[in-house]
Amino acid sequence: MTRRRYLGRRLALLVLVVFGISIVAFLLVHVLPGDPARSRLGVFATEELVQLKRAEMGLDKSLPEQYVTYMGNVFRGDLGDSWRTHNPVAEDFVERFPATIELALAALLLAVVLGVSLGVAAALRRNGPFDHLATLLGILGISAPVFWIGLLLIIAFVTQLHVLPAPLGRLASDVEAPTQITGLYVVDSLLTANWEALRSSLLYLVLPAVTLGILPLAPITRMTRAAMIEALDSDFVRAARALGLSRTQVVVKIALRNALIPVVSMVGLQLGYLVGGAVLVEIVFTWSGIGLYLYRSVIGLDFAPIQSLVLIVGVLFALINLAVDMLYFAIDPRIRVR
Amino acid sequence: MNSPLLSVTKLFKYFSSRGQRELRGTPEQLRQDGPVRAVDGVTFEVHSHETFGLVGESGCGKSTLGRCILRLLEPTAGSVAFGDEDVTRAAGQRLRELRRRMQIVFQDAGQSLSPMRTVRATLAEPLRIHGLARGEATETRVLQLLDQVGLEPMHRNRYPHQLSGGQQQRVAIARALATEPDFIVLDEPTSALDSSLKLTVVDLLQHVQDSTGVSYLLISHDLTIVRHTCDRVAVMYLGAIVEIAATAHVFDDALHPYTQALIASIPVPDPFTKRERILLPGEPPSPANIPSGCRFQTRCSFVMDRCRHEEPSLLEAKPGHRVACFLYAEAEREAAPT
Repeated sequence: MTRRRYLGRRLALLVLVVFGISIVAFLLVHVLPGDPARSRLGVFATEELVQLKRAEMGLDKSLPEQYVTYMGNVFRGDLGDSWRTHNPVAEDFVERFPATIELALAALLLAVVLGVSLGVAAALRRNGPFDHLATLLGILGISAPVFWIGLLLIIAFVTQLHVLPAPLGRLASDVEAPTQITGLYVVDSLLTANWEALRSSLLYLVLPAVTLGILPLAPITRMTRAAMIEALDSDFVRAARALGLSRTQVVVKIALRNALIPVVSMVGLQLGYLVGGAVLVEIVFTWSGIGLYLYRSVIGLDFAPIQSLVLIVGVLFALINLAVDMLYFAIDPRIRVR
Repeated sequence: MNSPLLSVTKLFKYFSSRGQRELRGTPEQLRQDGPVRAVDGVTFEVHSHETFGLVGESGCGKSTLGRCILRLLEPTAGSVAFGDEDVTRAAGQRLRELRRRMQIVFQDAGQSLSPMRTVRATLAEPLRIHGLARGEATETRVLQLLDQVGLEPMHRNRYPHQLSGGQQQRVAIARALATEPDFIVLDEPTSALDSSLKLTVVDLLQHVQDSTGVSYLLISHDLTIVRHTCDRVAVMYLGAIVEIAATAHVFDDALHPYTQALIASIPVPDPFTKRERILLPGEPPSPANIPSGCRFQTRCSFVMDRCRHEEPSLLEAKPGHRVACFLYAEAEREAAPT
């Protein structure tokens, strides 16, 4: 009963948040410097032409009117056209989104595996070598800009060691993309048993994924460490040891299981932030996802894609948030059963 | 008297005052670096079917002592003999068998039960670890344990947060009883409970002892409950036992000035009763900075010159009544074997 009410409240809140996001996305075009009509026609267009274009684009109507038209289009799946690529934004987006998802998921996977292990190791031996490593990585993740780390990694592994391909896209130019199923090259090539594409896509994925992964690594490690330290010092862990469980079992089955609850929610939120971080990483590695697309749209004053991406990423973030909260129900009996 | 069930001999537990690393070395060597001397050379024994009380202020090392006996903490030096096994040296299968025979109940059951597990899972765990029951038999045994601690069969499907504090403590007691131990450390088992619940839990514990013959080490600062339940009592001050005797002797004929102050602090329910209060001056010193000579000399109103230089040892002042105080040095000399 309470759960249903909670869910209802969250959904109502989500609607409000999405409405807010849409307003922001809509107003963005009016706030950003530059006139969309003029930017399309060029500096030398006459004022009359610009006014005509404004009328054509609906920019001469009142703001509420424009908003209604805009949202009507959005609900029909029409996000406007990109004048840079000459494609509907929705089409461009669908084409590029899987690349960003692949990058973000790979980064998150790396960050979770490494962050949780490092956090546990740091908690088990406080002030030990792993604890210092965790602190170091934490400082690096917070203070070093992603693109700078990306460039360093490129210098190290591409130009110096020659072990990884140059950061130009998602596949070697002589390798054909795997048959599209999910749009994630690694997954698709696995599904179609296309080993050549798998090898190539993995080689291209490693550096951007590591670069982007450093971002969520620090908070995941810190959260795991703190939650583990608390769990390890709890009476239920002491009780489990008194019962005769081996140290490994106590750490994994009892302590980690309890410690992971806050980590899970943290990981969910990081996924949202990763989409933002992906913009910079995609630029550095010419990774043709929505980040690179957004960047190029901003540079080219291509308003429709910018507006749509703000809307989509914002809604996505809100949805992930909701999903994480729902996840709590699944994993934490204190919330699940009342 | 027959040989004791548990004998603790010159047990030490020192913690580093910086960081959490384990200290290695003899107590004499370690004392140079000013460690926290939580347990500072404790000797006592517990017999079968006995309830042995351990009293003292918070921070005097009672709980640390209890944990060292169960090897939840590694003692710095000294020995713990359980039956004919040396607990401090046991490892692997032998340690596991010892864990089966020695159990613990913590102060706050809400903390000592994993929030992620149902009562059934909590009670089945010790059975599984020690191979005591399988399949159907597990369920039967779980029901039996619930019955033993006065809970209903329906409670087995509950999570800890769905139980009251008293019920949680009953589950914790049932978990300790699951392996049919010979000895249970009760670490402040009633301190987190309402006074009305305290007595029911104490009654339950006594009832269990009557039917199983288990021995208890009752760690408590609740002197009323100690007086009510214990056969013998040890008084701890700053990591060391200052007095040991039968419960009646400790409460009616306390010898050590500290014990006298402790007993005098018990509230008397009759406001018109005149009683002599003994107020100890100052706070107990830090266990990282234990006074030289007698550890109680800084707060003792009977302090003599000798107390400042020499540490009194725990010697028999009257039959079965041992005290560490120079006030009884005469009796000590008479009683000491030549």
